[in-house]
Amino acid sequence: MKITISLALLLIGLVFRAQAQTSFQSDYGFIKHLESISSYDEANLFLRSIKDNHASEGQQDTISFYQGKFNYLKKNRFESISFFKNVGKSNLSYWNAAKFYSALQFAYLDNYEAGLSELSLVENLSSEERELLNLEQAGFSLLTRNYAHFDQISTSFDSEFFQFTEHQDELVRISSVLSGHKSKSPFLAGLFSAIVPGAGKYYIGQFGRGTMALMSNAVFALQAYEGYRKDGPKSPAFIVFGSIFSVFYVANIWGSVVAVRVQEKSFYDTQDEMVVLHMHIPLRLLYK
Amino acid sequence: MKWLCFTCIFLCACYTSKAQDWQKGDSLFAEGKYLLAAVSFERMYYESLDDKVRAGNLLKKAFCYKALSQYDKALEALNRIRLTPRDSVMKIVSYEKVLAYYLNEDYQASYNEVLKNKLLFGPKDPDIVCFEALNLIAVYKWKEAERLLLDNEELLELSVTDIETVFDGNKTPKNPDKAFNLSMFLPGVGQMYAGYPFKGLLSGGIQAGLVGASAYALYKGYFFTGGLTGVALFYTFYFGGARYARELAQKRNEKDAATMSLRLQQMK
Amino acid sequence: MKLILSIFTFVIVSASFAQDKTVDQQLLTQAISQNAEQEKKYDGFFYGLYKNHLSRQILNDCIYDHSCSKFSHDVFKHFGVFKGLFLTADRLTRCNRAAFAELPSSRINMDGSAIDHWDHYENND
Repeated sequence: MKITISLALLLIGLVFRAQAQTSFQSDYGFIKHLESISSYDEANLFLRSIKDNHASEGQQDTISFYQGKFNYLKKNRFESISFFKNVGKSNLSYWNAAKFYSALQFAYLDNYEAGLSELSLVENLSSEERELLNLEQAGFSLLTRNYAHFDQISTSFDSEFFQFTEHQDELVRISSVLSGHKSKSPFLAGLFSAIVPGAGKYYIGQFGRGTMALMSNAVFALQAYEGYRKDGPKSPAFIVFGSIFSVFYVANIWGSVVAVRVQEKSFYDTQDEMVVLHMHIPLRLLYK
Repeated sequence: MKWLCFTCIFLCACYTSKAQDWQKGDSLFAEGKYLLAAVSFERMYYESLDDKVRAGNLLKKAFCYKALSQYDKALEALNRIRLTPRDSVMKIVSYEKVLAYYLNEDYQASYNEVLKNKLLFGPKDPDIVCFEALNLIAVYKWKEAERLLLDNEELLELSVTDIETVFDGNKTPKNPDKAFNLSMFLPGVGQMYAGYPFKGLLSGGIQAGLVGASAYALYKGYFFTGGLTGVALFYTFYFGGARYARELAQKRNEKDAATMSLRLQQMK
Repeated sequence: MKLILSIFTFVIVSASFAQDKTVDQQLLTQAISQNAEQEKKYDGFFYGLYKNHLSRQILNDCIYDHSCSKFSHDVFKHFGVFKGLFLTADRLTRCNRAAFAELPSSRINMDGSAIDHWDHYENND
């Protein structure tokens, strides 16, 4: 009798408990709901507070994956990477997506080595994922300026996947822009500007800035010359305008030298930004 | 008896392991944990199929974000509420939208919501009328705001003198383009029109000085100095002054609107 | 049954913490007073005169996110008088629409201002 009652009680209790346990299904539904209304902050808070309730490996992986994903969507790159690191192999589609997302975050953070090593961990890819892997690796080889490697990968680009083709073509185009880019010489830019103010900026293709440098130098030079001609070398007009002219003259040489570096950097920054963009969009398309 | 105790202890242990109860939005709100409360209300929204319950939860979620001063998020929640327009809950929702848009400095949207509210729930809600006036002030329609307040004098329990002190005789906002044009016509006048006489005098004085200096330099035969430095500097102050006059007119309007709103707010 | 129960709880709960309009009024007053607050004033006779009354009157068409005076202040602080002076003079010749037209998109921020900060000029000499 005792045993029957206690078993009955246990059974009733555990049935109710089981109802609570099945809540992972409803928690998961709620996570997807929060994702659909783009409430990433709320989703992160929710995931953090349910993490201890769901102990199984698969559940933990799901939670870590979504924590990583929502942090990625909030552009919290470091947090996102560390959450993706916690995703295990219980579900390979989460595992692979986590690796792809982490690699992309590393690309944004300019840590290309870490990005490539994330990509090397993917397993059991579908044919689409394999094509994505190709594309991401091609992107990294552009970011690391390894054009030979890029050419090697790009020949194996498969044009069968319509969502990737546009981005594959773009990467090929950027590659030719990058490998065909001729760096300008800072020395020549400085030398040209010393001979004719502003000429160094013409040399690097900055015509507006070159013209403005030429004009400002001419304005001060003419006034210094006027002061010299009318009042002699010791006159205040000559000294003031002469000094201003000297400052602007030197500044235009220095500015031209510096501008080469700044322009080179911004050229590569622009191209890198585009490369990462074309690594990013296919990833988003695949893991919608 | 022992067996019963063990069974109970076992079951208790099973139950207490649950960390967060997602049905406790109200108590979380009362404890000041507004973000958790917001998640909790969203969860209750998600789990319910009844429109009224869903609306109630979204409304409370909006209260959470209001308490956090995140008015855009509050509006997101409010705009997701789907009930028939004349539902009594919608009256609260509409008021909250008016308030949140106003606090989010989206005065046009707030004003539109005021009009919708008046259409659905009648024109005699003093809070809504006040918001209408505040919004009209914020978009520089001061004459209309004054007429509205005078029309609703009794409803708002304000006297005519009260209303006059709110506006302090100032019923036309400055026109930024007029300020710009005035300064293009005569340097410094635009700034004075915008209500900044010292800045106007300074700008006018500098430009007059530059014209004088250039003329003197040219007269003395310093053609380059007068022609280049004089003209270049005059150019920068002439256009800079006119642009600044436009900016100042805008700033003056913002300042006046804020002062009027504050006076009205303090009278309530 | 469940439906009736949930509607009942909703009515109870919304009555218990419905709108608190006095709090709303406080929020409003606070927001309005913030708008009515005086703008920032700069101290010092000459610096104050320049910053409060004059600086915005000089052309008032800077294309950069960091104004020329801020840029100048930064480069003098980080690179010293010598490099600071020349970088400032170079910057002045670059502060115009012609220079803006030549900038790549990566150097223009969301507000439409050109990005040009002192640290772009580090280690460049």
